[in-house]
Amino acid sequence: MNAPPPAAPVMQEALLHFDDVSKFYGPVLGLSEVSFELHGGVVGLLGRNGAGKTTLIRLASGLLEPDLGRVRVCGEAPHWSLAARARTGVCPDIDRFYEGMSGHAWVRHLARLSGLSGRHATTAAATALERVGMADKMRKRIGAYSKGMRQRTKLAAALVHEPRLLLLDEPLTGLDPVGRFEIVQLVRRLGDEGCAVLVSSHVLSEVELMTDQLVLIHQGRLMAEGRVSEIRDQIDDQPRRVAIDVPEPRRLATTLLEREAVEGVEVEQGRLLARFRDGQRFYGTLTAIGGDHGVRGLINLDAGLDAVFDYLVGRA
Amino acid sequence: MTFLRCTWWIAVQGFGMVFKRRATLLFVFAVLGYAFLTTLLLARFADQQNPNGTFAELSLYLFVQVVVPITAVYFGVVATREEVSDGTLLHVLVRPVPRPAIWAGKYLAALLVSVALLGTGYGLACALAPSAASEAGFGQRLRPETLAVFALPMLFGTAAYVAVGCWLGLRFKWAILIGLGFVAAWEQFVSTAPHGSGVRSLTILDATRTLIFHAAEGQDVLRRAILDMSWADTRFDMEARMAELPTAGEAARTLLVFVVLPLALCLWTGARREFVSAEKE
Repeated sequence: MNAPPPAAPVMQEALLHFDDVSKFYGPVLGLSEVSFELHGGVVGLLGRNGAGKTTLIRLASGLLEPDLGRVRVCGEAPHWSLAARARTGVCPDIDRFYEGMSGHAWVRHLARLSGLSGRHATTAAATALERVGMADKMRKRIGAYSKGMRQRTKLAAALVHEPRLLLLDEPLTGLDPVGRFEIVQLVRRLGDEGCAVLVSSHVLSEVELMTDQLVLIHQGRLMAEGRVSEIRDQIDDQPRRVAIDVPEPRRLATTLLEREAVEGVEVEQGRLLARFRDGQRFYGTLTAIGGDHGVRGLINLDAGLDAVFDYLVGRA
Repeated sequence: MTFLRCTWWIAVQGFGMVFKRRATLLFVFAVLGYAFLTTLLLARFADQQNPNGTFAELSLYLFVQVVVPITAVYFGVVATREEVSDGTLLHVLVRPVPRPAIWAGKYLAALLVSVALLGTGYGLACALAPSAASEAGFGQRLRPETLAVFALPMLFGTAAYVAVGCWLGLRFKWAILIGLGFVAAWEQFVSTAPHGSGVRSLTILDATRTLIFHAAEGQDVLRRAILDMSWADTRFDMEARMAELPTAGEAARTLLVFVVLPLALCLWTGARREFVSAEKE
């Protein structure tokens, strides 16, 4: 009896796959040769205004068709495949509704269009609106909603059919601090539950609250992809910076320069700012001499999203 | 199945949305105006005129020529234009809805609203007119066949005008103005070209009137009014004009083309077009 052939390694299919995608608006470049995959969890889509974030979201949601390359949602082209769109929830950036409808009627209407039956759509709409904190306002006219309430209603509409892929275009716009916190928590929870969430924003701090996994685009091109720390590691033409809290910053600066562990030092507001390239060497030196100089604390100045973003965009 | 489900749901939603527009009230007044004006004139001139002729002429000149085309084109335009221009269409486009179902649903919604409104006006006129004309001194009563003769041709005409309106709404930013221009200039002018010119069949109005003509067997006033509708035709020989009139089958075919062609263009444009700049409109 023949032994069964060895099982082929199982490749998890990407929920969202961009393969060399370009999009033009006439002569204007919207997106250029963008490739990335989304398997699960929350991913921040970061870029300045006009970078191509909305174009990317619209390509992923099937609103646009790529001019070059391929977009796939669960292996199917979202522009043509109903099944792909059924698995996708979209919270677009536009603030347009049927103003005369109640929030519940609106979400229910979109639930029906997503294939839910009448009674199921009614229940699902109520559940989705409760989930985004609109339980007590869902029967009011949308025309009377505040900006934040409208944003939550859009989010509920994106969630109502329980999609596997969620595309959120600037979802925190117009929300008050409490609303922001709640939506951030919700997005993180959705990511933890296995939903793939792509959140676009030009506000770095917003994205940082939700995830450290990024897709960064600038002028229609993909600049970087991955965790913030991984992206930072790839930027080797920029020295790293730390602020060292120490009682005598000048003395420590002299010592560090003697050891050639740093590229440059500055003393600013009683702190020592050090620039270096070889992290291992720098931290080794600092560990060796830090006790003698009474180092009280260390702040990494460029591990944050802001710094990484500035480096990448500045380099482009 | 998905296509039918989505078409129906969009039609139901669209019906409600179009009906609730403030401008719809204007058309309610227009169709009610026709019904009450017809009744009033029948009552006023009951002793001087043939009520069948009065009803037929009023319905032809006022309702078929003016109210029906404007109403149907307007609702067709509104059904497709509104969501494109205000951007709400994006919410629908990202759902698993076949694009043709969106436009088919909107056409159906506009058709239902138009038929409901126009049908109410026409029905009201048919209900009120006989009592107003009952005391006619002219020796005739308003016959049921006079009342019924407009129903089917107007239904087909409405279906064609709505289809044209839907396509204009999807294609042009100033669709309402273009639609009004189509009705006021093209339809009115070309449909009254001389019978033998051959261009009349390029209009919905001529096809609708032709269907009414063929349905109006024995109604001489109405038939003569229809044959008379021609500029630059100085012939008094109505037989000659009648001979150049298309058959009922040809008129029905023309209307079918006016339904199918704009709808096909609608589906084609709707499937190909990217609605990303909708909000900026």
